[in-house]
Amino acid sequence: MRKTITRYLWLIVLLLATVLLLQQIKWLPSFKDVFTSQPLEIDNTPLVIKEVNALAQLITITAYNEVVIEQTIKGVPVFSGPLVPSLPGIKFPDKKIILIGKGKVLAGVELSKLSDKDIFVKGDSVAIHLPKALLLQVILNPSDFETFEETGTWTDDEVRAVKQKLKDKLIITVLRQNIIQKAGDKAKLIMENFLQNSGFKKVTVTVGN
Amino acid sequence: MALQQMSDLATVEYVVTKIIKASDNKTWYKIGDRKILMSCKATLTAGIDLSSIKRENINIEGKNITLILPHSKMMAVNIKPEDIVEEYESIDVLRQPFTGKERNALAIQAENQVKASIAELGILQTAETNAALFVNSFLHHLGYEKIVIQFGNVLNTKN
Repeated sequence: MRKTITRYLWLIVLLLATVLLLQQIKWLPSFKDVFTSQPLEIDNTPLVIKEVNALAQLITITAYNEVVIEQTIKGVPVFSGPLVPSLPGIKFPDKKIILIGKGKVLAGVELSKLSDKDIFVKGDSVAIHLPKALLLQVILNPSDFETFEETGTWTDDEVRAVKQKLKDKLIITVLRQNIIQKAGDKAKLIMENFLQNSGFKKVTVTVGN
Repeated sequence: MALQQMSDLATVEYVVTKIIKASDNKTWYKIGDRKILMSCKATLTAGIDLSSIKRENINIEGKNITLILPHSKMMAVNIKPEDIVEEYESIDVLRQPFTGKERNALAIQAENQVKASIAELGILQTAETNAALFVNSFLHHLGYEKIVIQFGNVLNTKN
């Protein structure tokens, strides 16, 4: 009897040693990996070019900012149909989401709006009137978002609406920093420098308001 | 908030689309499948950095000008939240719906794939062609008659 038990114990030890050895040489997943959820990966689908647009944008300022937004949607009553009387206090739980967005805003002038009447040249003098500065791009890519908290089931449309609000908040905070004025001033400086390097002695650059 | 001064001339934007496709059926102990299909649109912007043009890069002889422009670079990859749209979702009875965080994680993978594919699109070449066209037109307005534009070793002559 004792001999049989010893034999079985040896068999178990041998089996465990074999499993551990196979895990070490990566032929078997580790015990931890067996119960780890597999990462969700997307297929590598091709990119399709929809448009190619020529631009002439002078980007003069990039503003970086971090914005937080919190949104709560109150739970609706469980029985809300006209035929079923609603029971007070019985409703779906509220849902809440807190997003952090680290975005950037590019500002500058649209040089494509320059027309013949905006450029005046006489001898070695030049006068240019640049279009007014504006926000050219607001960049909040998926990797710029962090979900700090999410409770309840949020649909794609609902999350997108919250992200849109966060983007609006980013624009407001950036505009408070007088970015448009700064972008216009920098555009004026760049253009003056370029024109002086291009051989003009007297340079006048103005920016639209 | 941080502000950075730039001198970038953006000369081209590519609008590209991509399908984001994933099946969550690889974990053995989760019973049932989850599938999602999203579409996304990305705007890629490229151009040249005007700050690297120095006086020695410009040679003027009367009405003739020779200008050396820097090579083009990528300026922005912009995937707006409103441009990522869920087209289809299938959740089996025993599985939970996709959360906002999971959908965003899939969109991040798509963003990385877009960034990795930029070199194949030829956007930098188009940016240089457009930069040459714009600078040529601008210098023509300033009164120059013969304009030579170079990008490093590449020579683009516009008369």
